[in-house]
Amino acid sequence: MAEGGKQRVSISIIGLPESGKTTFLAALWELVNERRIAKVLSFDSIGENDHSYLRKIVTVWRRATEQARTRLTGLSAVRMNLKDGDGNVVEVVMPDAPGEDFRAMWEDRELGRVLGESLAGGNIMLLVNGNKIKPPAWVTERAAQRRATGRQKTQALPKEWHPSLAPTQVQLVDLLQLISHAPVGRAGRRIVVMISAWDKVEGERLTPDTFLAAKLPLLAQYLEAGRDGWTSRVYGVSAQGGEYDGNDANSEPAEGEGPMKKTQKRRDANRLREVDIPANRIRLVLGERESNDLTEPLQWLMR
Amino acid sequence: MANALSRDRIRVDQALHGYSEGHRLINGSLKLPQPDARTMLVLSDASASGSRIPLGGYLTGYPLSESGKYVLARTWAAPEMSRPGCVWTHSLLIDFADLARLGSAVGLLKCFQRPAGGGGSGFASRLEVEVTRISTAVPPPDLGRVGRWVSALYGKPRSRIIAEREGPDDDGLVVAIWMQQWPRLRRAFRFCSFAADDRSTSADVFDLQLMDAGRSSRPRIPEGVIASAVERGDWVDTLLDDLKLPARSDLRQFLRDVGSDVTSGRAAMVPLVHLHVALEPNAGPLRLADAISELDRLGSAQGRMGRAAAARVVLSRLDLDDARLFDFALQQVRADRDLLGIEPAIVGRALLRWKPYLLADGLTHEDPLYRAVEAALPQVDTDDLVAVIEAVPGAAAAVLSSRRDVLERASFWRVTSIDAFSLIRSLDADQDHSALIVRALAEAGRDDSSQVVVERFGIGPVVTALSGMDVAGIRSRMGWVRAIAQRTNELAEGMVDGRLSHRPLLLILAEILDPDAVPNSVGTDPWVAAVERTRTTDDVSAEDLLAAFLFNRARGWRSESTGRLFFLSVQRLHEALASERLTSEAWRIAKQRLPYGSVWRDWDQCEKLRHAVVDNFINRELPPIEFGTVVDDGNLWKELVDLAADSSRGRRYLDKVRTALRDGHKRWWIERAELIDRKVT
Repeated sequence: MAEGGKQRVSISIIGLPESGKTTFLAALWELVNERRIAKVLSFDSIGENDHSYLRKIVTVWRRATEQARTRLTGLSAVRMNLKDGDGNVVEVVMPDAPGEDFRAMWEDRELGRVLGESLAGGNIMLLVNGNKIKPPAWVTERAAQRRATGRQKTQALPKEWHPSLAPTQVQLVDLLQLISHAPVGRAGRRIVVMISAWDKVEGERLTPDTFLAAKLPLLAQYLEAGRDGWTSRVYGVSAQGGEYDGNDANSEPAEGEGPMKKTQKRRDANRLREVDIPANRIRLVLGERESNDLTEPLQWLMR
Repeated sequence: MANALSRDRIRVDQALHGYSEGHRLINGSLKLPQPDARTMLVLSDASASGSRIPLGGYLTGYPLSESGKYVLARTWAAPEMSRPGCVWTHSLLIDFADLARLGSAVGLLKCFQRPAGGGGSGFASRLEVEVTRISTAVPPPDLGRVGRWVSALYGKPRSRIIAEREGPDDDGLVVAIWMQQWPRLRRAFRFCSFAADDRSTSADVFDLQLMDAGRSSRPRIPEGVIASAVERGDWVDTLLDDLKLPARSDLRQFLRDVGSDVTSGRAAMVPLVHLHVALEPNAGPLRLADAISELDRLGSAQGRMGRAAAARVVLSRLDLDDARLFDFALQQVRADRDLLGIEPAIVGRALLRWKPYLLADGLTHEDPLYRAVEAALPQVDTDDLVAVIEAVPGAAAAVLSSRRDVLERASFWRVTSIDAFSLIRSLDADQDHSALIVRALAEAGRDDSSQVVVERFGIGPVVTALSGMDVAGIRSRMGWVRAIAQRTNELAEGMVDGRLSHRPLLLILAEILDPDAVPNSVGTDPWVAAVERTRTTDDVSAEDLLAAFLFNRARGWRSESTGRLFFLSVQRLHEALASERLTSEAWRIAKQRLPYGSVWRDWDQCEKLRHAVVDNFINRELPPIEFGTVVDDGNLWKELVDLAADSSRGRRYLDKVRTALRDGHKRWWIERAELIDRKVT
């Protein structure tokens, strides 16, 4: 991939709806623009893309406000050039696709051309909201629960199956398999699994690796088995650093109507806003180690 | 009742999109194919992130081509949901066919329902929507803005149009513009009454988007055209008049009629509006020609119905005296098997008026104009058809194939370029019709064709034709009389069977025929049969000549009815000779067969006549009763008896006459028998 001494790497950030992709992107942009914080990759230059989108999501992030849903239309491919300590310049290209597009790959077996092309070659950053994992229902656990509580097995009403009912890990493994094979992509790439909202799940005292093995065993085993040649790492990330305020964007006065009451502010958000350097709110966990350098997983993916 | 319901209502599917771990379909009454479901998912999402969605929501309209449905959707902000940027969108899915039935979208707009309490129930069944046929009017204060919008929409038909949204009423204005369109455009029209970004995709371009007025005035649609920046066309007023008072305008119906085959979308609006204006009764040909060429610029495959409407007007309006327009109209109808739905007779009449030479070129059955001409010909005035033939003689065959009555016009036969002989030989007409043709030929002075006519049809039609004329008329058409005079066998048949029973014609025939010419092989002499069917005319000289003719025939060898011929001729001829009124022509006929008289009485032609009659009766032993009744005049009869009594053979014959008269039981017969008694005893 060397091109005139410059390494060109494509990294795709993917994840189901509400996995924290936009927040991660906003935090990354804030971080690389913050000179006061040391990081393995620093900002070099911006690529050809709509800066206003990055500015907008960063503004929301700085206010410690929840990002609005990324709309289904208006996919903004964000490009930025970062450089490492040795002066190598790398171009990071990240499609900021709505989570619905990734879900559609599982539920509808449908993939848009633009997203397909961006997923074809580069390495992958898979965001998984640790707080919203739809866990598998273990038959043995249910049986043990019934024995312990002395409840009888109740006859469940038959329910029509829909792809959306599938466990999160099933959806994710399928997603990775899809982008490991033609015509979408290729096998043998690096992947970082980012367990987002880590601040909400760290109470379980698991490392990101063990969290993945415990909560998403199918995904962990799929990556470990190496059938599609993935080389993986698992991080925990709290890209916003705590619980945010709701977003006022939708609560502004409607046409022909007076101002609505402000969304109730959360205490955590006030705390976050008091942090001097907003980028310091970021928390990144790898094994037992913790930092705020979101560029580290990117550096690893560049190799 | 059920029928009445289905006529006034349409069934509409619905869907609710909203937030449930991402924006998705919450509930719906219809399962759509994947690409359409995807389109709906995308377009049901918020039209702009971070914008203040109006309290009452906004409208989006777009087609789902695979499903054949049009979506009219209302989107509301959903601040009650856990995540910012969420919306509710209630979509109505209308069949393309049903969309065409709507005069206004009032019924649809009433159906929109924002889900309450985050629930999506009540959206799983189809809706029944009343069909509102009366169009909704745009209030006059809004016409200025709407005028700018339509000006841009149709003035820049390939651009995505942007206008500023001012308030909730704008939804109704956009819908009014949409409903003004003809069904095909209506079902392809994409609009959104509130947007911040361009909602178009690479495949589907939004036609009209109202931008959030609260946002930056700089449009975020690079290719977008701002409505207010577009110059206003002369056609805008027509559209606005219709929007202001739809009930008084026929524009929508016109657009509906002519827009059905226009696939060029908004680009067709201006040409169609121009055409509508140009088709008004007071618009001149120039305007219509301009409108047509404008329509032509859309492409040859476009606007067939528009062309048809123009062609119909061109073909049916007699005041549009413009050959160029007619050429256009003809080209249109000729390219279509169904003549563009125009009544064939209208096309045909115009064709006869403008391009009669096409008939001469020989239209084939495959040519749509063939049917047009065929339909028009029976309706066109005969004199007009003759005029066509006069101008284009080659058209005669085509005209005559359906209008035989043209042959009955003298004016037709006066057309010098007509090859009358060939035409007559080719005719296959019945007797009545051929008589009318002969009359026309005769009236046209085409005596030269009499021979051919008689060869083709026999003497029947000529006799019929001549039988309608008086002596002078017949005499002026001697060519025809001579033509039939040559066919003596047919004359004999006609005289016997009664077809030739017109006294004037008999009089003229007597002038030119040889008294022996008409055969009398069996039965009554044809001349006797014919003359006895007719009554004596006032034409003394002609009647005298006929008498001379019949006397001559009686004296000849041809007749089997000599006695009757004497009966029909002798008395009158005797009177004529006695009064010396006989014309030289009649005398020439009579004298041929008068016997020579005694030298000293050679001057007494009457005596010769009496001798001739008496000699004939006696020598040929003609039926005695015929002698007994040969003349009405008693004195003349007495003289005949005197002559007969001069010889013994004569007296024997008179005896038979006496017997025959006595058998008659008529008074005057008995008297004549008694006279013979006195003579022969």
